[in-house]
Amino acid sequence: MLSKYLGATRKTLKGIFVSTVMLVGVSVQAGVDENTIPLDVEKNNLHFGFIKLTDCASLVIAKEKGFFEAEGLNVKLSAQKNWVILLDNVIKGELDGAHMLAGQPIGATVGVSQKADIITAFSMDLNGNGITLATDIWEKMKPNVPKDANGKVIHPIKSDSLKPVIESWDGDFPLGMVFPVSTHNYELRYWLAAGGIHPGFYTATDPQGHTDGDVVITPNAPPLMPSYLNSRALLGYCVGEPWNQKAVFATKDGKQLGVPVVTNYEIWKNNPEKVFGVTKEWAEKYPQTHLAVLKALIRAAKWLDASEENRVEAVKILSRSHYVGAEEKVLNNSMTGTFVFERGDRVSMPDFNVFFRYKANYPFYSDCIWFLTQMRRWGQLSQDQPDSWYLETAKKIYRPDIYMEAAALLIEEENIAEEDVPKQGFDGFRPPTGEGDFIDGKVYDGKKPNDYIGSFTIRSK
Amino acid sequence: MSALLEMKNVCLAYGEGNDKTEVLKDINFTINEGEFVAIVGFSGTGKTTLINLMAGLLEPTSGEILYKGKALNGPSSERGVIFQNYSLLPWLTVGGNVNLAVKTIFPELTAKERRNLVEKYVDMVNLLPAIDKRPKELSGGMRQRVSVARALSVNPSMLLMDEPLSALDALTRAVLQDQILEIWKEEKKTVVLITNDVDEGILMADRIIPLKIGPNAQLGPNYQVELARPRLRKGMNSDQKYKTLRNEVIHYLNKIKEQSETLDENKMVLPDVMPITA
Amino acid sequence: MFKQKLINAFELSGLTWFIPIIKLLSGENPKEQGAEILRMLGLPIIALSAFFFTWGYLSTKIQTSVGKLPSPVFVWNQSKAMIANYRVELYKKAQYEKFEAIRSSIAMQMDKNVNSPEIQSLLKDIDGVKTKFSDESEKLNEQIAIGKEAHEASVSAVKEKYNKPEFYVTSDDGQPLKDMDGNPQLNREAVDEINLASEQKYMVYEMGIVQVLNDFSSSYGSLASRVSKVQKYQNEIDELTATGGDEKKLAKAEKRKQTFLKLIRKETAYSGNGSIIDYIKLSIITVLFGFAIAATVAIPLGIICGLSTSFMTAINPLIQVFRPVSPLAWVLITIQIVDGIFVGDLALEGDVFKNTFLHAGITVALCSMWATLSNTALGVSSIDTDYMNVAKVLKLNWFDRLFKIIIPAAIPFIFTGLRITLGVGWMVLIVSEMMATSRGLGWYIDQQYQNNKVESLANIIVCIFIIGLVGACLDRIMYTLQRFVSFNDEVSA
Repeated sequence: MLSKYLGATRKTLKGIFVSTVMLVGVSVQAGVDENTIPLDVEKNNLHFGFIKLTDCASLVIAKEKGFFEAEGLNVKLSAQKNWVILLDNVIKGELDGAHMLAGQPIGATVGVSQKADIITAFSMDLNGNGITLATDIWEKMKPNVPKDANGKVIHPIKSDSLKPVIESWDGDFPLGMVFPVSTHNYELRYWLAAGGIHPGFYTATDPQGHTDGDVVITPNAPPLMPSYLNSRALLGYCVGEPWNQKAVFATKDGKQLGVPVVTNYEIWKNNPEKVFGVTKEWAEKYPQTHLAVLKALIRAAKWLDASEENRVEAVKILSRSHYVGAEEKVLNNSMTGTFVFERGDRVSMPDFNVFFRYKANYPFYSDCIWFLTQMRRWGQLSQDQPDSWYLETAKKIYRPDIYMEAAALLIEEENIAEEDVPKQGFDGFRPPTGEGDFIDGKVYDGKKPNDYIGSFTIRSK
Repeated sequence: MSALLEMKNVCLAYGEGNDKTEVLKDINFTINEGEFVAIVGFSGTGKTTLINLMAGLLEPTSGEILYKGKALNGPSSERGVIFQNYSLLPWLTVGGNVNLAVKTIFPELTAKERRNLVEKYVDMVNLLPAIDKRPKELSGGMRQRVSVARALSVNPSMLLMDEPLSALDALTRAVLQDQILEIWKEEKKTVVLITNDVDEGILMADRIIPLKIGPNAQLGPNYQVELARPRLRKGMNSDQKYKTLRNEVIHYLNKIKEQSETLDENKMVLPDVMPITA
Repeated sequence: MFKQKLINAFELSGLTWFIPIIKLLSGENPKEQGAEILRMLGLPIIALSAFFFTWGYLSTKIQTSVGKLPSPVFVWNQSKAMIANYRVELYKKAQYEKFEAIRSSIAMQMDKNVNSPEIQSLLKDIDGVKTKFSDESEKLNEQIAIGKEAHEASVSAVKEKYNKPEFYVTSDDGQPLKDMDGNPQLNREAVDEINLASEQKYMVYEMGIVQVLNDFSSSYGSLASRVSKVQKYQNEIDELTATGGDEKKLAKAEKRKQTFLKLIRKETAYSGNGSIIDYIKLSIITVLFGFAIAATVAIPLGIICGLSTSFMTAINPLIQVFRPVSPLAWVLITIQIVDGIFVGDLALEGDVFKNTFLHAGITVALCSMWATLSNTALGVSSIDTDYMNVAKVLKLNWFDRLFKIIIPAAIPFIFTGLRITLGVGWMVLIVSEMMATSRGLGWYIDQQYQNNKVESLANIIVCIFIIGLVGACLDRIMYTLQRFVSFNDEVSA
């Protein structure tokens, strides 16, 4: 069999060789460090943690494409078992820093989850999550979904079409999310509540967040969610990629295992998803190292958003067993800007995973405050607080000042352009959201968190 | 000749109150230096208890035991014990078992002296070729010889043997009997031999004492064995003195057995070994 | 003589099925030995074949959420890929050491004179290494291309085979359905076969080496560029001092130079991805560590329990309550306690000794020590009265009695306990590694599970065999030891 190919002429082999450079993955990028001015780092051997999700890409790319090395950093990346262990390891100092849920530094600082002072100066990406329902649930709700002239469903799909299904459902309706302070939890609740389904409140006596709920929402490890959907321990979940696409590609009873109904891009356009978090103590002890890490991450994020080819290459790297490890074709969908809802319903979503564009890496105070408003809305924070409290808390956790310092160095090196980041002196607040930015049409102004909380009908009092 | 060991009105009971069982009662016994005494009796009569008392492993409930005229105080290396089931330490070799005894009793010896002593006693029981073997590699007779060597190695003035040969086959038994007698003669030891074999007692001992059936076992009358030594097995069966003595002892044993059966009808303490009558 | 020794050794270790082979080789009654071999080897082989056949059959039937259950052949290929990865790691480590050697000699020379001829020659060396690397990777890439071609051909053959109407999925009205790319949708069987074929690993070693070559080529590149940066700033400094130039510029150049110099001087730690052999080694070290803790705690405690019934009575409730606790529960508490003690500067670091090593090791000890404890206590308390009588007659003191009689007498019991302890410990280790560590076999299985694909399922199956084999080897070792120390011959195999 093989001898046939061995007989090929050298010329054809050369041709094949050219195509294999992509296959092998990393083609050496000349001069990553050519115009880098490294900082005088306090610590050069670093250990970062991540969870097997595509949005850890900036970390992986910064390592594999030599951005860390250009800064003189020798970084080891370790997949962590779950978010609790990841945060624990950061708090204990086992890890220097990690890929975190945006809500984690916030939750840790205000004491909703593990208590610790975690800061972030780098948002890793925007969007990237989806809500997937078991196929039979989808089939039950499909008749309620508005369709266009060709009979194709109109996105975004709202949860009001799910409401009758839940009302007639016998028994608990279990839904999965990732972590109590994760974006997924808030997005799932937001989407459900926007269509009138009560997702349940957290109370002093109910840390599970099931009080008054029409559904039962529990935290689960992302990679296991498709299996849970298969065993019907869950009927749906909100999770990051590739685990929504996994449900599309997996089969149960001759049909796809689950149907992603909505992405978080549709719930809140360009919402912040993951951040790079370190302890406050670490950041104070190793300020130059922190800046160097940020520089490498920003460049990696820029690389990820630079071209389609880069995304393809990133997929190959991420699919390695010690990174995300899922099959390339599964990773491909979200990373290259397409999203399959149902087989035959492939939608182009160029902004499904944003790593750099729209100033994605800047840690906006308004983003932090949005999470705080949701914590208040669902009862994780039980006290009403003045608007000033929200700003003060955000300033403790989100550190645009450090980000801007790193960005300034990169601009000086001409590794990023001035217009890639907000101007110096920017106040850290996104402008109030537009009409169609949130799925429920609400306007969010980070400077007025209490007004925003007050505008919801379903909220913990 | 002076009394080496004396037991005066010795009683031994286990338990208290209603649970009290008297195993031995009013034991009076004297053995002189250099004497060879055999105590015969059925199994379960308290023979082992008796030898444990003499060894000092048990303390009497009442009465007193004198050794060389002084009250007995615990076990001592002066009274070597040869246990019924050899009691060799299986993790030690033949030499190791003997050495443990030698080392404990004569701590002042150098390693070389100790080794010589060990070899001497192992040789005495003809086990020198097996000195580095472990007990599980030896036959029953060999094991018992190790036990004898161990008991002798600490140079006791008295040897207490608790049915040392009862588990052995007839041939091995005969060989060992001769060996023990030889050692007794040469080393001038005082010996108490517990046995369930009347013939063995007559063959080896100067004096035979039957032990009555327990509970409340007592010693029976003394039977002097006035047979000339060396006693040869071959000629003995036709020896009139031997026959008479043997019949007397067996008759006595049978009698006490019948008595105990009629005395206590509810409690059929049948010996599991019949006296050898052949 | 030698033959008998060999036979005895196999008998001691319980590997009795080797005995007829030796006897046969030495020409002992060939017919009888042949029959014996057939019985001792033939029967297990039949059972094994039956097992693999059943597995092979089931793998065509059983659907998992990630695809078809991997077949024995797929798993075997996967295990070869794992070994290839190990070889790549070895290669990477060797390259890392070479790189560090060159880096540190450059750093040493730079400290003396940044423009010395030695440095120029070292830079030349680097160029040489890079050229060599690119030659090597070109050669490898050619091989990979061949392998890829073959792989793709086999995949397309499978695709061809299944791209037939009988494998299309049709809707209820008989219309063929389209998949998301608009092609006819294939049924489950076809999709699985195609997936299996396309996920089959090929040229793992070669691709891994190319990756390493690329990585180090870029590392050498940045090292060289840092050296030239230092030289550049040095030249600037020299020029500025010669011309008496701007102080500010001079300071800036000096600062830049120092920064690059520092980068060259800094040692980089090796950060490999680990391989299956590393995980096996680490797991064995961890289980032996846990086992050692269990033994050092349980044996003395067991002896005390055996000697003193009061002590036994006192701690018995604790034993009874703690013994049935699952490792999953212990490990969480262990993590917190260990991290509470070894925090900050006390935290353990290094290749093997880390806090996580303690987490797994201590959990193993906590779950597995009970068998040794109760067996030791039993051995000590049930000591033969004969042995004690010997001790009394010899008037051994307390110390000698304990160490010369009681403990030796209890050794067979202790070893029986230790054997159980090691067996339980190995099982517990895998669980606690899953929970507590970021290394080792248990962790690797968990990671593979999270990868959620057929390939990772196959890796898990490989690990199951590895765990079983290692466990069996550990048990054999303990069995042999147990036989060795027992005075009687009864030891259950």
